[in-house]
Amino acid sequence: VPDETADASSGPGRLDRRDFLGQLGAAATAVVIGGLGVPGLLKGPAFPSVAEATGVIFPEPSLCIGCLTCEVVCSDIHRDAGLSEMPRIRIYDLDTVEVRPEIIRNYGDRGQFFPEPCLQCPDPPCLAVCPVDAFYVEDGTGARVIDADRCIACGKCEQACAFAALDEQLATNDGRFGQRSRITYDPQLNAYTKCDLCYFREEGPVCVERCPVNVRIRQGLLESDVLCLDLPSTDPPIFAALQRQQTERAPATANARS
Amino acid sequence: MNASAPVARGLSRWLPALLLLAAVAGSFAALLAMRNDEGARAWYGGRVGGSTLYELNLAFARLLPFAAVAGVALALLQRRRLHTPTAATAGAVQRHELTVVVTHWLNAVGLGLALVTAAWLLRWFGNPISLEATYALHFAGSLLTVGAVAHHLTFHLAGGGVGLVPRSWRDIRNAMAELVSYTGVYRGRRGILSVQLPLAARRPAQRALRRLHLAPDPAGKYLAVERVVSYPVWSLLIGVVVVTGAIKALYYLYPYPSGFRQFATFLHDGATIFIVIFLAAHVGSIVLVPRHWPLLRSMITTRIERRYVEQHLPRWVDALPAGGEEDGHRAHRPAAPREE
Repeated sequence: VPDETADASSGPGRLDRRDFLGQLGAAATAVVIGGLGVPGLLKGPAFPSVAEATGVIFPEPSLCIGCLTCEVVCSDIHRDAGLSEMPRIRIYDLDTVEVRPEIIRNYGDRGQFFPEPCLQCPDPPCLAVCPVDAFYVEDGTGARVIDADRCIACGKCEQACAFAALDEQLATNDGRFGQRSRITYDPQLNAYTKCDLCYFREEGPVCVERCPVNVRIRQGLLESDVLCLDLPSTDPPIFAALQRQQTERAPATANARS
Repeated sequence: MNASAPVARGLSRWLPALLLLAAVAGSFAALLAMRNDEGARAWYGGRVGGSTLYELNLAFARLLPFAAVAGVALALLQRRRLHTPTAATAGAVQRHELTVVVTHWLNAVGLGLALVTAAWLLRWFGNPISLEATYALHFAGSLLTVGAVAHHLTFHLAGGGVGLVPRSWRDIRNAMAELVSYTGVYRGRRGILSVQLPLAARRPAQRALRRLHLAPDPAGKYLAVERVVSYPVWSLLIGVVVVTGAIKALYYLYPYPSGFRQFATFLHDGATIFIVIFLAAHVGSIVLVPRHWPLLRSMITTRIERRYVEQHLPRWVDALPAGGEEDGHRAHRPAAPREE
């Protein structure tokens, strides 16, 4: 430690008052700054606590016919609303899916498909890591929504998403978006986007409304105890079932909720 | 200070070392605290906070205060150097303290890392490395910058070194004239790429500049443009990115209303754009103007040729210790740039 008494302008053995006060001020500032950092060492991460979504898209892979209506209407409805036209739900070819006999009877053997929606996590990691607060929880639906105007497209949310997407080479749609999780990059907007439960539609998510299998089930033309794309209200069992379905994928058999 | 203040002397002697110790201990504690987070909450699949990215944010937020404390402590330990008379030899004089040079380049490296990674994060360029590595580098650069800024402020404010602060309106006029001189309009002050305008162009231009009172006075240790443009603008821009970056980072430990972070982000990104522009001007004014090259050398070696000082920084000559005249030339004091 240098002997500051020797370098003071007031002479050897004396400490200049202004110099001393300056040092003391700097040291006091450092103590305050360091003091502010100490509580951070003692407390855990401050996870944002957010309201749960009122519902979540729950697919039934065994009913999916791979028609891509959900992807197309999702894209259309969002484009019409002035939002990113990237589809928020993706359909993949997955040969481990067991297709229900009534689907094969009605539609023929079209293949096996696996829909991958956003799970609207109760504690969304995507929301927590966003460095610019581009995420928000929509008041009406509780959907975790990305505001494209605020998004800087850093990709943290996409990477933090706990639910990886299947290899995009398996995507039924020819479009290749470099999708790795349930959050998709839109190069046109230079922003990320994700399922927002169509919060701007009174009728709710358009994919659930327009899915042709759903339409047939609702009309009684197809017998099924569940919809191909359903919108159950979120509760822990539902989320656990959806999480299991979306992470294990195979065997994705009838009614993953049971 | 009363000489009978042993407590004050003791404080002054030991406080910097204690601060440095606290900063080092705090940094270790910050890294150790990450281990506790693992048990805090298992986010899906057992991933803490969802991802490594979240952990990086936490680590950065925790390390940030201690980087600042380390900068302050190191500056306090070194502050006596400011009182050291300028070292001089016959051929060269010291223009910068070694610690100033080190801080400048630490700042350059830190800011460079933060800027390059910011360009990747904002997708100005394709990112060749992983997002985790990008954020780790961004945070490392930011910690370096925070430490260097804290050191700089302490070293100069607590030590009385304020040579780079503008002092008068005359400084502003001189700075404008210095900028104009980059066109090569003044004889004896070659401009960008050593350009000197032809006499036929110089004369009318100089008449116009004279009417505007734009003729640079002889410079002192620092050019007027360094005092009026370079230092204040750098201070402002770096100040904004450091403060807003800290605000953004601390959100991960101390959540505050989101609108505040959006505003901080707006300022942070805006300042980043201006930094890129100003960095280009800063580097350009050195690299493209050959008569400034010795200034760059002095920011590497700390020293500058006495001959250069006499020619380009003549007002500083009087303040210099005698360096002898062995090199065969006497100090002279050229007037303002010669006009035709």
